[in-house]
Amino acid sequence: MSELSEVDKTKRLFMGLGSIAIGAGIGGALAYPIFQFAVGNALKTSEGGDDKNWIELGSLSEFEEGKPTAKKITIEIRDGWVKSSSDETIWVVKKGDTFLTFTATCPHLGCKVNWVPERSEYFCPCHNSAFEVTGERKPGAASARGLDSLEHRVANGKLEVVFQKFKNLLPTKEVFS
Amino acid sequence: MASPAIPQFNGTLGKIYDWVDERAGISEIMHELLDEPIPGGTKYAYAFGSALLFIFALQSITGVFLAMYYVPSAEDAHKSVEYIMKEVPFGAFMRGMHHYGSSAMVIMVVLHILQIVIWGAYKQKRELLWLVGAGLFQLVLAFSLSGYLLPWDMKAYYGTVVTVGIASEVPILGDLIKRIIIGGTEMGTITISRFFMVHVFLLPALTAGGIAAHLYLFRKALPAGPFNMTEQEAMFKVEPFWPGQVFKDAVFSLVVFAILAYMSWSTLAPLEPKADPSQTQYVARPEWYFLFLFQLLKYFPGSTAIIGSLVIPGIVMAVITFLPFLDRNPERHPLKRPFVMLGTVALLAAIGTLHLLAKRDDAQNFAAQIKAQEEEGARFLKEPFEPKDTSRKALVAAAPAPEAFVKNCAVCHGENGEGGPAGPKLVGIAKKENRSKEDIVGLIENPSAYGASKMPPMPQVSATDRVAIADWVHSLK
Ligand code: FES
Repeated sequence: MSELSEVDKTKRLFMGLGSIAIGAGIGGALAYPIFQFAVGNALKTSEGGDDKNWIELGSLSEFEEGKPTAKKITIEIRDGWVKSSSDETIWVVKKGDTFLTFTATCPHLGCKVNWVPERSEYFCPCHNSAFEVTGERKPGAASARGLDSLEHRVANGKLEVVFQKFKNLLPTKEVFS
Repeated sequence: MASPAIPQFNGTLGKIYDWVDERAGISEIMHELLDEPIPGGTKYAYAFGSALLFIFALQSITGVFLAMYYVPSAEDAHKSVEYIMKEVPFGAFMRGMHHYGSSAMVIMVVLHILQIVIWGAYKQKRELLWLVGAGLFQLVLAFSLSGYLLPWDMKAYYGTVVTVGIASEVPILGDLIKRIIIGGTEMGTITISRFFMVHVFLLPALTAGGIAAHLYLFRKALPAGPFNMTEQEAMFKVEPFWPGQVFKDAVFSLVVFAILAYMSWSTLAPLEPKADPSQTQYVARPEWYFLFLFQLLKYFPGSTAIIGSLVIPGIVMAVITFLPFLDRNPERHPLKRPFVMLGTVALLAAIGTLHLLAKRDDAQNFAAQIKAQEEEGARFLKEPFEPKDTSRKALVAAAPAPEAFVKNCAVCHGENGEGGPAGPKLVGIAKKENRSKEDIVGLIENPSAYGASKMPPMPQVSATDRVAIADWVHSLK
């Protein structure tokens, strides 16, 4: 097969390129569905509607003036094919007649902040972010913004919040849903 | 090593190629892989092996991605497959490719074997090549048996119950084997988990090794060439593997791919409701390519059962596996090998006949039930996806059944509407067509008007009670 005629050469070229084209075609035809499949429902924004889901934190009398109290709430989550419950912590501070409510999730990269009474600050041990009792970011904190406050109201003598998640890192609060 | 298969590059590209080639030896590998001489020239008849490799690759890719969502547990397996089918973008397509691909694999392996048998291409020092091939054939069947259980729907459950039952017919060790396969005495999560591990880790690893050995031995033995040429004639007409045979293989694989993609688009891969061990009316049938084996079982009742389930299939498999040792005649022309050719035709005829008998038997005796099952499966696939609710809210216990239900309905439908030998299950009935609360109120008084003619009319139940029953039945999930 050392001597190939011109006809043979054209035939070989056609078959060679044809094989490569078929391979590429099949690969391409598969790549799109596979990509979509793998991404799955990751980019779907949750269809919560406009109805706010108010979650009860407790009676007003439970909260001490000026002292952050941790309140556990249970939220409903949709996890693939499962609807399940998950717990979250909310920090509540009473200031006279008003309340401050923060999610315990650190706005930096998402660890949880704890209240440190000795230093009178919320502290995130992951990358040393400290926050004032009012939620403001203390100088030197790794986080670019203060703690994320949650919308709250008082109804029938109970304090209620709307739980949300927020985007990491940004200097201003943005909802992640 | 001047080879027409190796690309020639000039300039910078040529320098880069040379640099890589000196270190990685691409030219050498390409020469090994692509310049192999094919005696007698390239043919579409030789494309089955490559097509098998192609389908195996497709099954691997779709399988790996399906494993992104599938969960091997009795709790979640069925729900996760339903999620793939109904909620994941292209999920039905991906599962379709994998489902129909398994049939394609079986069809292709049979065509491949037939081509080798007709061509007498297992002869002339190709025993090892054939033995490895026979092993791969058995692995394909093992793939299909182990994959059948994974969706954990009715058909998966009962199909596997039968398969495991057959394994337990092995004398003396049967019980032990059965326990080891299902992981105890209960078919459930441990069983699924075992089948999953075998299906996605063990068998693919064995198959990959088998394919490597098969290809190596094939290259070592060289293709056998046409059966109607002498070796000299065949060597005179020799053609290299690249590009002629590669092109034919690619065209054939493209046809296979197009058929699979079309089927996956146009017809949803079946998924029935979740496995329900209490169902007494379900008619269990294996995948179509095992139907002949299922039919064979019927001819060996009682203590002779093992003949149909293990002895005959075992002997046939042994004959196939050791064919090159049994048929030592060097003659390759099919018309000059009456024993093997007639044996092959007889085997195919027997399989075909058994298949048709199984079909006829079902059409005569179980047509209504099988049709009902198919409709139930289709209805289930159309039903909107309802996530499994494990939230704390859902754990609040369901209300107890009203007294009128306990008195009048529970005998047949079960105390919690779970269904019984005489009455279908009522759980989830709210989602069925023509079963609104009003329909159920009416149905209790006059069942046949609502397509439930098997149920006796219940005029003794008062109108208020009928409403209470309908309300409660609708709350069952
Ligand atoms: S996550 Fe809290 S400081 Fe980094």
